[in-house]
Amino acid sequence: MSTEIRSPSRRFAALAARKINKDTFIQPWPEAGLIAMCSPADPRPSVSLDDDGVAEMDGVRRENFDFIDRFIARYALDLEVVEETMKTDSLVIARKLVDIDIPRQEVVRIMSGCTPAKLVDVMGNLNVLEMMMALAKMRVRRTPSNQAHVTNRKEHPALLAADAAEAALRGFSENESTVGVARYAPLTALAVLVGSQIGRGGVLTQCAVEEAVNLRLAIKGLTSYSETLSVYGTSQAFVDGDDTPWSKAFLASAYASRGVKIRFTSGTGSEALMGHSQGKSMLYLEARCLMVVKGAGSQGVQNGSISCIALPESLPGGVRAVLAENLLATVLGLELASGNDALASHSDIRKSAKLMLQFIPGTDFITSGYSSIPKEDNLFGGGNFDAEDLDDWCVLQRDMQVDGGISPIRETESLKIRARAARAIQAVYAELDFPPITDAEVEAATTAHSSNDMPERDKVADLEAADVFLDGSQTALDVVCALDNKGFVDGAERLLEMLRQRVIGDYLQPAAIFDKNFRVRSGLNDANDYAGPGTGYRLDGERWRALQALPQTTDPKEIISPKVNGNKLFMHEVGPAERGTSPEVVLAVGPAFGEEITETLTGTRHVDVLRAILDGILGEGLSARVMRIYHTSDCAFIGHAGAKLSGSGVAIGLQSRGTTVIHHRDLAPLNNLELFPQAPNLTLDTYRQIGRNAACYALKHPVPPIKLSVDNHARLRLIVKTTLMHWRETQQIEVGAPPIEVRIG
Amino acid sequence: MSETLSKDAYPLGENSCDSIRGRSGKALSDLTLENVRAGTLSAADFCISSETLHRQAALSAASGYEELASNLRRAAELVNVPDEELLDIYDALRPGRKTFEALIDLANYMITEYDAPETAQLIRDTADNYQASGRLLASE
Repeated sequence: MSTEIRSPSRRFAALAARKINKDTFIQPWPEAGLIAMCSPADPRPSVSLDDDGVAEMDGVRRENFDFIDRFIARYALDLEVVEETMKTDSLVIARKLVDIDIPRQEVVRIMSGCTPAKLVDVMGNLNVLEMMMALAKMRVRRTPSNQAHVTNRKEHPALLAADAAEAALRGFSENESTVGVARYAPLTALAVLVGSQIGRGGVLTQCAVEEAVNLRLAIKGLTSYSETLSVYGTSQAFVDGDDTPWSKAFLASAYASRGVKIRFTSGTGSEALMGHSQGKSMLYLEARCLMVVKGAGSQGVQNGSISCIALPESLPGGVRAVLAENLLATVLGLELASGNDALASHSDIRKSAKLMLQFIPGTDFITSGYSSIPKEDNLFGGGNFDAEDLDDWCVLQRDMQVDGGISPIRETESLKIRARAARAIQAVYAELDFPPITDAEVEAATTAHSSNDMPERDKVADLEAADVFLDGSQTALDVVCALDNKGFVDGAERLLEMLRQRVIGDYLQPAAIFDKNFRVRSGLNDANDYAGPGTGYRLDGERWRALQALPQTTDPKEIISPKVNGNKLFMHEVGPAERGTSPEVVLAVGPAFGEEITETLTGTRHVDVLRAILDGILGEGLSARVMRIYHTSDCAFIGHAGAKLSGSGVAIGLQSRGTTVIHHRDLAPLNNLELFPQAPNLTLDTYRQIGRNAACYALKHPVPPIKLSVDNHARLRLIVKTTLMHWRETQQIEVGAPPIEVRIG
Repeated sequence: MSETLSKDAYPLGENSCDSIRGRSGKALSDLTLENVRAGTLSAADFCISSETLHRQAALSAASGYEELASNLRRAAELVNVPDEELLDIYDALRPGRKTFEALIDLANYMITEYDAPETAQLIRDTADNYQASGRLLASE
């Protein structure tokens, strides 16, 4: 039985309907692991050493260690500094994290002597602003970057290649894919590899699938990195994942032995979700994970809760804990791909606010998968930010002068690169004897937004080809030949260079990425050297110019057209205006009215505005005089200048952009009878009413003020044009010039 | 084998490209599109060598990334392990797959077959710790 409870308060009903209230919010429940930080069951930091190494850690004696404790004590804890670190007050260490005079390397050295509980204790002293400052200093690579997710629901190779190429062109350093149907993996990896290299040389690619297949794809040269190596903070969760720290450490070496970059995966909430939190806080368990990651010799980690993000976000301090886990990865010297990938909230406000914690400081990969495709095509379960949000992201970069790792591109560039990538995978399919990709599919992929725009393929035939490809002897080298044979020499060269880089191994180093010329950039040759203002990565020069150049930016000089003469000759200047003596309304217009500017803000012709006002005045049986004010462009002063010359004392002031006031000479200049400050809300009818009301004031007839419909977005939409029109009107001011009477012709 | 290298040696691809050879012995400078066209290269020529991994390990260590260096040294030991066997070893190290004795045998095998002392040490540690935490296969 369900009963719908309606809020008696309409305010609360409106709030209840907001997207934010589709999110789930719970109180902490430590026993179930539903607590972000500081569970009562979290241990206090402690350590003691003896001749055999760590005798006790975080309140547990060696004989009671679980295998995670053992692994951490054996491989991750630096016994050279552990005593120094553990006796240092956590607050003192926390201050070192944000102290610009303490270099990153020194912080890493001290933190390498932290037990998991000590790591958490240090984080507990930092608020989010301090964590962001620390993140800017502690991330491994000086230059921030980003990773894209490239998948589609139809697992269509031409669309995968086109989307991978576009993502590469947008500047993503890594393109990650995955599959809906596991058997597609080799074809998906192939399409993303080819598309990425067509888009931009040097993009690292992966296809996240089951571990054994993953390694086989890498060995074939179809992928260049892997981030599927998940670790957990309790031994039972680990075993449920059918692994231990030792098996993962071996796997890490296995990948490296084939020249493949790896990154581990962890994140708050996974243990609670698996029912094995042991009542510990999410951050404490993540600290254990990160020490396992470090001990296993991974160059880096993707964390930030990843697919569990909605779980910490249901708790108080959850987003802070997620930032803390990002920071913990960096203080342990690990490359950080900082989450922001899985859908975290129904609310765009909440998603964007959370993003800022990583976006502003910058991380090695700000998202560990920006969904560069529409949400419905995202086989990772839906992105937190999708293809539809790309322009929002680019604007945020431009707003804050922050490099979020995504470059704005133009539609023509996109179409060109997508077509080329789709043709390239078509060529590879033909050369490798896979089920053909038709010209119609290439064309569809070129202009597609989602897989809805793609024709269906013969899935049975594709999957058979995938099986043969995985089990057969063909490798990425055959793909190089295929591209070369079909005239895609640049693609062949780039793909070959990816294979050559595998022999060199430079990209196995921490936080390594390639630029478009295959120059490697890692923690070894692009180490983060942030030490306060004026140091570290600065978004300037060519890169800043590129991030400013959004396709939708316009030249302000072109927003208002140069002088339009079409309607100009309706006003004839008669001579200096005299003070009136009979009942009348003066209509005073701005210095550019009908001359330099001939339309209002919303494009209503000045001639029509003028006629509407005059109609209104004359309709009440009153006469009107028009005069142009030259000494000011301000609406109130234009109106007041007219009022001082009006026989009745009443005047209408009218700026060229359309802003209007009804004034009286006995009022202070900035006071008025009625003001219509937002020109976009004024129609010709309103102008007619303004004329009528002004006449009534002059005749001393009682009249209600004019009611206006209000468009709340008018100012937002038109403020730039308003500024430009006002600037042009102000340019026409002639200091000291008297009002001139005008005859309408 | 361990080597000390100055941090400046990185990136090897820019600073030492003349001395890099793949696992098959083919020089990096021979890995060209011309040679691909001529049909003189095979996929095996694009495998990283033990020597290069040791040099990368030395570079990691020189910049303070000690754990990564250990990983890359183990990787250097594994370059000659066939692909399928590599997956078999990984599977053997998963929880509850092998007895203590089987893991010790595997460690010894890694030394005799592949001259892989650091990998063998990791496997011995695995055996010890699985014994202590009850993660071994009871009997085969």
